[in-house]
Amino acid sequence: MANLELKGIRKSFGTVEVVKGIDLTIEHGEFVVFVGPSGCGKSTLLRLIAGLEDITGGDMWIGGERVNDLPPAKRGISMVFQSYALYPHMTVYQNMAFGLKLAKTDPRTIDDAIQEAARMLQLEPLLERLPKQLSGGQRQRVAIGRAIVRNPKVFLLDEPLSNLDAALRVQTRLEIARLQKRMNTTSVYVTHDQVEAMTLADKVVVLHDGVLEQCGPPLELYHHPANKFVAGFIGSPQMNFLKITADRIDGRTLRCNMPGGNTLDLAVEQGVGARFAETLGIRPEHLRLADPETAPIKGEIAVVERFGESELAYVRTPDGQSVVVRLQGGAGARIGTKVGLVPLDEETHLFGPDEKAIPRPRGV
Amino acid sequence: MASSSALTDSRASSSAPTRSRASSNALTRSRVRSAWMFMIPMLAVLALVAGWPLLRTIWLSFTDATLDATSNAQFIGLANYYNATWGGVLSDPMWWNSVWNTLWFMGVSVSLELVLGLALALLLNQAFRGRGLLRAAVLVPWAIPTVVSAQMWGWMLHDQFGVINDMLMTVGFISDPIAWTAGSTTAMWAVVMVDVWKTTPFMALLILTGLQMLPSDCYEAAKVDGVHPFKVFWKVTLPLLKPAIMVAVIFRALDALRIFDLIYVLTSNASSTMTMSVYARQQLVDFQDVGYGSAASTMLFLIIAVLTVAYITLGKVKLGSEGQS
Repeated sequence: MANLELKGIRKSFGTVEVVKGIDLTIEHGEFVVFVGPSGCGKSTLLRLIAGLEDITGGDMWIGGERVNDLPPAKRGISMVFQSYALYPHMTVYQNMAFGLKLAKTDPRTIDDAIQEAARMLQLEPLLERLPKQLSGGQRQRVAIGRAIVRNPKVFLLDEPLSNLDAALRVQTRLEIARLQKRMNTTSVYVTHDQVEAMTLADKVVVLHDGVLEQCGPPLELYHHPANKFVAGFIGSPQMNFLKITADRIDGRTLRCNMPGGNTLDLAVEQGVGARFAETLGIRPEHLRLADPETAPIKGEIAVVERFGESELAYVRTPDGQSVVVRLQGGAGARIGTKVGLVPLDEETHLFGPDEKAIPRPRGV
Repeated sequence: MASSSALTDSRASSSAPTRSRASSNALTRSRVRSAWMFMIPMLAVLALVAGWPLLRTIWLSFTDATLDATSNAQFIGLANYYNATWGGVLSDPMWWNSVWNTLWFMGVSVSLELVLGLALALLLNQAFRGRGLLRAAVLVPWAIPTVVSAQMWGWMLHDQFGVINDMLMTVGFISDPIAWTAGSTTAMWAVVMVDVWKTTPFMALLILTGLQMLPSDCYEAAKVDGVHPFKVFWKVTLPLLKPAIMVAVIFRALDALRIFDLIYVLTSNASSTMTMSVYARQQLVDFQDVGYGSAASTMLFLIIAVLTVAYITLGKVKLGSEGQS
């Protein structure tokens, strides 16, 4: 059993603080993905867990043991590096055996572990090759294999797919998901790609400027983002944000003054400061076309992108804001057409002046 | 990164012959032509400053030319190398003494320089305050012209006025001054010591370049694997550094085989330190026997060539881009 607990973890390089107090609990067998833009501190946080960087402040426990002052090798972790970090002069077999051999593991145990990992990762025909004789995807599998044979308590992966091409990335992503479920090892995975985060994770941790913005199951983040940053980061294309003003018309209803003069009434909770909402957020897939005269959002189609199964129409509102709407494939949106857009009520998000989400009644 | 480029390199090189054969068209021909245009000046200069003297030396070694009469020299075949009447280079014990001296000097000095240079390179590869300054400072012995540093050491090692004898006597290691460069047992060691002092920085710099090209992520992987730093050095650093070390050693070995200035300044023509170059110079200039001296020079050239080819073949040194995989 290996759960991972972070309490107020901080890391500074000189005077620059890159990880600013992270509290996080990861349960045994959970697959957690750290996601965020470059420079958000996600890789640093992973390296802190690995022990490759020293923790500046806070405490960390792996499987109930405080590991702040333990070297990487004693933490029971293994790590897959972005650049694979294979030893160029050793064969695939030697690469996987190296750590175990020097740890004086019984040769038969080593061999069993390697054969097992090779079978899982389809590396059996490649065991005698050197890394330079392998393709990128194969190297990646060797790096994963090397991490598996150590039978770690926690499995760390630092952007393992970023050096692969698009098709291979999807395939390897599926393999990693399958492997993790099969081994049921606590795993922490770092990526800047929100698609990887959404598809792989049991729990997504969104980081921004060294701060944990939100942590939860992928769909929780999609449907109920805690703030404007998470709302914008999760989902593609990005959520539309419209500048609005709002008036409360009764205890449970908020009237939003939309760009173009029309209004939108939304159900809100009491005592959450809904009246101060400044931004309305709505995803492109949660808008539908309607009559331009009465619809809350209206404008003119400026650009259309056709993907076959769907179309993205970029609508320009009278006050110059841009709204993306996802239409069905073959909807035949034309540039210059005046359209009205109606947001799906339960998928409409409100953000206050502090960019935090204003809670809305769930399951209406 | 480096490994992935090596992969593409090997792919490219394996497909290159088919490509050039398949499309021997006007574009390819014009490329070959312009390549030659760029090569010719360099080849001409090389032929002039390296090829011509070499060929002329080999030619002179087959003649009885003397320093004051190189033009009316007579062809005498291989007599300078070996003949029944007066011997020739190959039967001169002095020549074989100088060959042995050169090889001994090369073996000992390059070995010491390799060990010390590697240690120095590992040290200079660590991050510490003032590293840039130290990197520049260690190059000082290498930057001083050999004749100057040899003369400097000559004075320091002087048996009566030298600072080294003075220091050793003050500390009490020796009771009487030692004639370092004159004694037959100490002279060679004195020369080796000065050469090590002078060229270790060069070795260190070449190895340091190799160290800086090592993939740093491997070291983090080893850290996660819990590999002891000493094991990391033997199992990771050294094998990966092998190409750089082989190149550094080959440079130094070639330099050591034709060592002249240091030995000539420190010990002149003394037989205990006489190397092949010193021997050849003595024949050419002091004895004015250009034919015989050229034969010695040609032998020197052949020995260096044979050793280099053997070294490259045995060590599988790849001097091309593949070496850095």
